[in-house]
Amino acid sequence: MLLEHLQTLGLSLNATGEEIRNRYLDLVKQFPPEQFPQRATQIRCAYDFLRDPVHAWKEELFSTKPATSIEAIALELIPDIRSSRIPTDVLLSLARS
Amino acid sequence: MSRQNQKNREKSGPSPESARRQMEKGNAKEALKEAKLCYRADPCNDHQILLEQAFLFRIDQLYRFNQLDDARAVLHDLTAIKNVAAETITGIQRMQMLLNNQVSAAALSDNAELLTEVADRAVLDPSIPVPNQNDLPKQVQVVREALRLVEQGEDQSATDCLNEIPRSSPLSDWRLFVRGLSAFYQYDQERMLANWSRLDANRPAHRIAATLMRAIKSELPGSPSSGQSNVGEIADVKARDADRRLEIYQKDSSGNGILNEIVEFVQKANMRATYAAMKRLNGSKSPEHQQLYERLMDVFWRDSSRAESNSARTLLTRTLSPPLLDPHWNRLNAISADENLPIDEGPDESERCWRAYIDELEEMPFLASEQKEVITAVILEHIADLLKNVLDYLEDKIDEDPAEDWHFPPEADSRERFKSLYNRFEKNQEEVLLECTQQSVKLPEPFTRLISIYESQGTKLSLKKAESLAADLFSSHPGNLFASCWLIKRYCQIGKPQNARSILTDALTLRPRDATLNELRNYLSSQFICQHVQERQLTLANEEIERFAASQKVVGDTVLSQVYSVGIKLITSPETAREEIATLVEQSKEPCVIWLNLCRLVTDFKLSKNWRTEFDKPAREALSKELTAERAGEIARFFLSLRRNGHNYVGRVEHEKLFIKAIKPLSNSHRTIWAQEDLRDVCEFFLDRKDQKLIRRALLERGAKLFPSDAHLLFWYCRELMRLDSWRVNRIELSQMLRAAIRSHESGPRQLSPGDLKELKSLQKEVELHKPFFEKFFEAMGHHEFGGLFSDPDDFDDDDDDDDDDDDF
Repeated sequence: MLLEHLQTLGLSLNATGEEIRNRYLDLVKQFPPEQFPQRATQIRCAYDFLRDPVHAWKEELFSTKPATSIEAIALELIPDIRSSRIPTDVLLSLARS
Repeated sequence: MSRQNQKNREKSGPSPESARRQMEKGNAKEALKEAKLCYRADPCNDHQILLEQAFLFRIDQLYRFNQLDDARAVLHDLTAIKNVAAETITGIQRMQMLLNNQVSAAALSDNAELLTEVADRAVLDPSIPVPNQNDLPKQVQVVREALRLVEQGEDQSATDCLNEIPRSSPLSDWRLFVRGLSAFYQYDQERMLANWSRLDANRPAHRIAATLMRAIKSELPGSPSSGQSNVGEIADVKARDADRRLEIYQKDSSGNGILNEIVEFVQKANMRATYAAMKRLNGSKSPEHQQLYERLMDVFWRDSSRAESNSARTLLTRTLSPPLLDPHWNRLNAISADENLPIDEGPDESERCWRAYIDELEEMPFLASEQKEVITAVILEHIADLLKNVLDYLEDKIDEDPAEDWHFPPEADSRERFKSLYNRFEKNQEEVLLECTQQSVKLPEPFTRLISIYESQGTKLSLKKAESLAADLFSSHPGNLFASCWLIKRYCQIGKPQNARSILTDALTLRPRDATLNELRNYLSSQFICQHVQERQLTLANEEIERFAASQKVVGDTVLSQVYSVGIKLITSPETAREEIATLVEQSKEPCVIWLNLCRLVTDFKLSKNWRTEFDKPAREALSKELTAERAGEIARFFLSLRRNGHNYVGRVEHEKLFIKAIKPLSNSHRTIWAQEDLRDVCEFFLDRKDQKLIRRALLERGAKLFPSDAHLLFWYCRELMRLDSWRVNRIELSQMLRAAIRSHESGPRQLSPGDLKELKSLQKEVELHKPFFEKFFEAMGHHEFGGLFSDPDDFDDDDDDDDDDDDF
């Protein structure tokens, strides 16, 4: 849970409050919500979780409900379809019906 | 076809409707079978037309699936029968041209639709020979070359080569598609839509574009929308099929083979295979795989902690390496112990596991020492919470009236056992909270709880400890309202109001409208008056009284300031004071409050005991008189103002006893006409009186019935009900009342305090959790009213006045 949010911001476990805030501000500049709505929401959500260390540790230590599901992780890890070019035969097979 | 379908068909027999339905669903093979059976059963003209349609539908489908030999065989079967429908003959000619590659230039020039179909087919399948019509073979080559160039990232070359295709060409649709595709890869949404929105929705290029758009959570105009018609349904199936194909490609090309395996095993609930795959993932040295292992492990261990049986946890802990933040599974064990906490035995096992986890924090070098302090404090607070839950439970058990619990009457020695456990856990809670406050100042809650515990102990030493804790809390959290208010009251009580002034000023700067702080401002002012009088600095006292009177006028309550003015005269001119008291009593709508305030004044101003004797007698007489609801409200407000500030005076305990005695007939009578504010304040007076349970319950029940939109009365009543044996309370009604209380809080003029609101929401959560069970229970019982909530009014006669507090303090 905590690690999940730290990974979103690209931080390690011992990141200080100031490091979290600075990293958040950098990422907001890098991924403005108008252009990257999904990524910006993830970043905001991670920052909201991490900005209060007491709340973050309470969630991490005692929550019995995972922050996500295996299926959601799998979906998230599938790269953006546009990140590599789809072979022409695969592309044309999409029209087969 | 499944056996079940076959059986159904045998039962109902072949029907033309069924064949048509299969065609509508896109099941060409089934449709043809049904049509053949119909024709065989009754070879009439209609059935033959249906059969020919089904044949053509099937041939067309096989052709589209590129199963050309099968399509040719079915076409051969169709031509073998004598065709009757004109559409069939046209259809056969079309399919013959497509399947036997006998498309003549003449046929193509006459049929634009066929030309488009042939062109699309040629792009999709390079093995198909293209008829030499209008440069078609060359243009197909150009489209395929452009697609290849885009695949290789040479977008500009692809665009350049597409210029060879004229706008009038049947392949101009593909020109738009390739241009849009190039924009798609370059994240150029505008250019992509500009091209793809012009595609013909019935052609393959549009289908591909729509699939790609859905993959990026977008939509192409003209894409199928579900559920509109049968045609829409078929289009949906085709779209889903294309989506699935793209998803498979994505998964296969993502390099997350193990993750895909894990997902499949999880979906099949095969945890052994899942964990075996996890082990392989953990065996990898790659940092990405290690990160992924931790993320997946986080899901698995949290899920297993909720599992009802231990076997899921055992399988997990025996098979897999523990997560980074729980190297010996102590946290998982602790959470499992929390989940299975034996409420009447205490959280010993949970505490043991959590303390083991605290010990192993030392083995986690990746955590900063400040983080370890916070983690330790958070865990200690959690242990204190568990202890508090157990203490609440035991307190209820100890207070429980054996006559009330008619389902499970307590055993004779159980109360003693509960008391002994209570004492042990109470001491444990205090120790844990102290340890927590020493660990980190970042958590204010343990400070406030420990301060309240020390305050309730009431000894000089414990109050000193509470003061020290409040000062620590205030210095690390200067905006903390609890610490500010507590210190202000404390300094007033120990005769150091000057220490409280700066705290109050700072707190009021942050929260100028806070009701508690404004009440404390008046209290502080009254303390300054008392201090000046005690030091006989009467001029200063009079000045402070003037300021106090001005602020009291704003809230419309001038009694206390008038009493203070009289108090000064009791020192300087007793006879004048007596005359003024007589006037005050005469003018007051509730003389009892004047006498009670005068009694208080004797203590506040440290006046002679003779004055106490003089004022105490009329106060007792006024309290012993028959009460009206309005008078009860006035007197309750007097006692509440003292209680809120922790203020006391000699004789208060006796006066409260007389008040309670006078209230009994009111609480017992349904004829009393209550004003909302009076009843609320009287109820509030009884909230902390553990010895007056029956009066409190009767008043709260009446309050909730008379004023169902008063958030406070509803909340207190619900809380009271929750303390009863759960079988005696209709939780469905309780749930409705809690919801009403929240609505009243949100919309009503008097809102609950944040603490009360938090408690209200937690009550609601608890009630909602058990509501389904109670709904079934009440349904089984056949009624919703399950007994009276409270005891018979005659019970009040047995109510013992065991309040034996000493009047001397």
